[in-house]
Amino acid sequence: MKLVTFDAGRVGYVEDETVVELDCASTREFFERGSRVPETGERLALADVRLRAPIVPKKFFHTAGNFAAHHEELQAVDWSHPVHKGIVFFQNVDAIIGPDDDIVYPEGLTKELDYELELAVVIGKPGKFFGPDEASSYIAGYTVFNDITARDIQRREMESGVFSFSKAIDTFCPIGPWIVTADEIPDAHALAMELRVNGDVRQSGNTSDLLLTLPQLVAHHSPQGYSAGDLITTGTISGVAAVQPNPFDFYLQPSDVVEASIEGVGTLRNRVALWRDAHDTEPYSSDLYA
Amino acid sequence: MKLGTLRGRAVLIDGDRALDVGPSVRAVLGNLTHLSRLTVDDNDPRFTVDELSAPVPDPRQVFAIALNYAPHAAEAGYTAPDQPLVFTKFPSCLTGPVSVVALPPGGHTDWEIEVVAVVGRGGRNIAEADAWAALAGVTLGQDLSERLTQLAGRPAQFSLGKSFAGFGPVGPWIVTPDELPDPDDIAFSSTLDGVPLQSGRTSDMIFSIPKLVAFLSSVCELYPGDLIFTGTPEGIGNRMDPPRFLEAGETLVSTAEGIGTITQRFL
Repeated sequence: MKLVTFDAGRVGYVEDETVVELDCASTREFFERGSRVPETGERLALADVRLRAPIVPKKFFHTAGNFAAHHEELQAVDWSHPVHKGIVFFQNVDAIIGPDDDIVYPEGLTKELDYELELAVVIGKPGKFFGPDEASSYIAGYTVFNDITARDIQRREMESGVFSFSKAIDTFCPIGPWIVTADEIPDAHALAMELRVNGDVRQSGNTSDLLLTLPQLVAHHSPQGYSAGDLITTGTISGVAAVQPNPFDFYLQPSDVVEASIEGVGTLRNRVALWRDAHDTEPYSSDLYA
Repeated sequence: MKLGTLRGRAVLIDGDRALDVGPSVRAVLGNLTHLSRLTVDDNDPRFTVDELSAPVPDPRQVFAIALNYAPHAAEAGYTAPDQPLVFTKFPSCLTGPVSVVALPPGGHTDWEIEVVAVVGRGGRNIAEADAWAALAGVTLGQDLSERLTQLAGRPAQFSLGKSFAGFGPVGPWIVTPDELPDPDDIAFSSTLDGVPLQSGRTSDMIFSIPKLVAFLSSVCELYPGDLIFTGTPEGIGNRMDPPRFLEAGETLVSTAEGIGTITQRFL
C-alpha cells in the first residue's frame, strides 16, 4: 500500500491513479490503530490531489555514517570529530516538508546547501529494548528522505562534536512522496538509490551497502523507545556535494530541482526556492552564524 | 476473507466479530488488496447474523439465471438451454440473511435456493479463465418467486414476480474464493420447518460461474458489487404433486457449505 497524506491533511492510499480516502486524522493515527482504519468512501483522482509529507512522526531518529562509501569519503572532509558508527541524533519534525514543496534557501545562514539521499524506515507499533530478531515486526514501511544540510554550519557544530542545527532549519526535511508498506518491498536490502539535481545524477548506490542492516538499526535505536509512526533514517550514500573536489560547483542553488529516488519506494521531488520567494523579508541572518 | 454489511457499514468478518472497513461494501469490492492486509481481532465488536444487511445492499445490477440445472429444467418442463437464460431481480427486493417476508395475498410464493456470485473488479468481455479474478466471491440467496405473477404474461416476464418486497434475501456474507476448497463445487441445501426441500452442488450447473461471467460480460459491463443469482436445482414447490407453496408461519432455512446459513420466516 502507498499511504499518503494529501490536501489539508487527509489520509488515504493510492490505488492505480486513484486516492482512496481513509477515515483517520493522520498517518500517525493510522499506525497507532494498527493500520486497521476504515475507508471514508471518497475516491479522488491522484492528479487532483496535492500530496503532503506522508507523516509527521512523534520522533525522527537520524543515523549517521551507515554506508561504507559515504563514511570513507567523509574522511576527506576532515571533520574535527570522527563520526562513529551508531551515532544517533534527532531531526526537528517541524522542518518536514512534502513532495513538490520548496526547500527554502536561507541565504543569510548558509552558503553550502547540500543534499543527502536516505531511506527512511517507518515504525509501525510501540516498543523498546528489542533485538534484530524482533525488529522486522516493527518495520511498517518506507519512505524517501532528503537530509538537507548546511555544511558550513555543520562544520562549526562539529567543532563541538554535535550536528543538529545544520540539518534542522525550516524546510530542510523533505520526505515522501508516500509511505510504501513493508509488504510491498520484498527485499529492503536490495533497493537502488539515486539522487539527481536538475537531472544530473549526483548520488547513486544501493541499500545492499548498508553497514548495519535495517533490523540491526531498528534494534539499535530501540532503547530510546518507539511510538507508532516514528521514523528512522538509515544514512546516506556517497556523492554529497561536500566531498567533491570542487564542492561549490555541487552545492544546491536557488531554482535547482532535486529528485531523490529509491527503487520500489518512489521519487521525492523538491525545488530550491529563493528566500524572497518564500518570505516577504530580507533573508534571516544571525551573528552567531555570520 | 468474509465481507458483509453491518448497520450500514462495510465490515470484515471473522467468527462473530466484525471490523469496520468503510461505508460501502460496493466501494471496496473493486480491489481487495487493501482489505487482505487486515485481520479481525479479539478487540473488534461482536455481532449477530440477524444484524447483517444484504452483503451488497445496493448493487447496480442483479442478474439471475433460469434453468441452470438439468433436472430443474426438466421438472419445469423445458429442455436444457444452449445459452444462459437471464432475468433480473430488482434490487429493492434484497434483504439481509435473517428476514421476515410478507407473502403477497393470493399468491403462489415459491422457494429457489441459489448460490450468488458477487462481482469484484468486474469489467467487459471477461474470459472464463479470468472470471474468478473478476469476482469478489460468493454468497447465498433465495430467489423467492410468486409464480402467478411470474408466469402471467405471454411470453412470461419473470422479473416482477421475483421482486416483491423481501424476495431477495442474501447472505450472510461474501466469502472470497480462496476460502473455499473448490469455488466451482459448492454444496447447498434448504429445509422448510426442518423438512428437506432442495439440495445441490454448483458443479452440476449447466453454465458454471465462469461461463456465466463470460456470457454476461460479453453484453453488460459488470460493476463491483453486482450480483449473479446462478440458478436453482430441482425441488421447487411449483413442480411438486400437488404444488406446494409457502405459508404464513413457515421458516425456510438455506445453507451453503463454506458460506453459511440464511433464514426466512413468512407472514
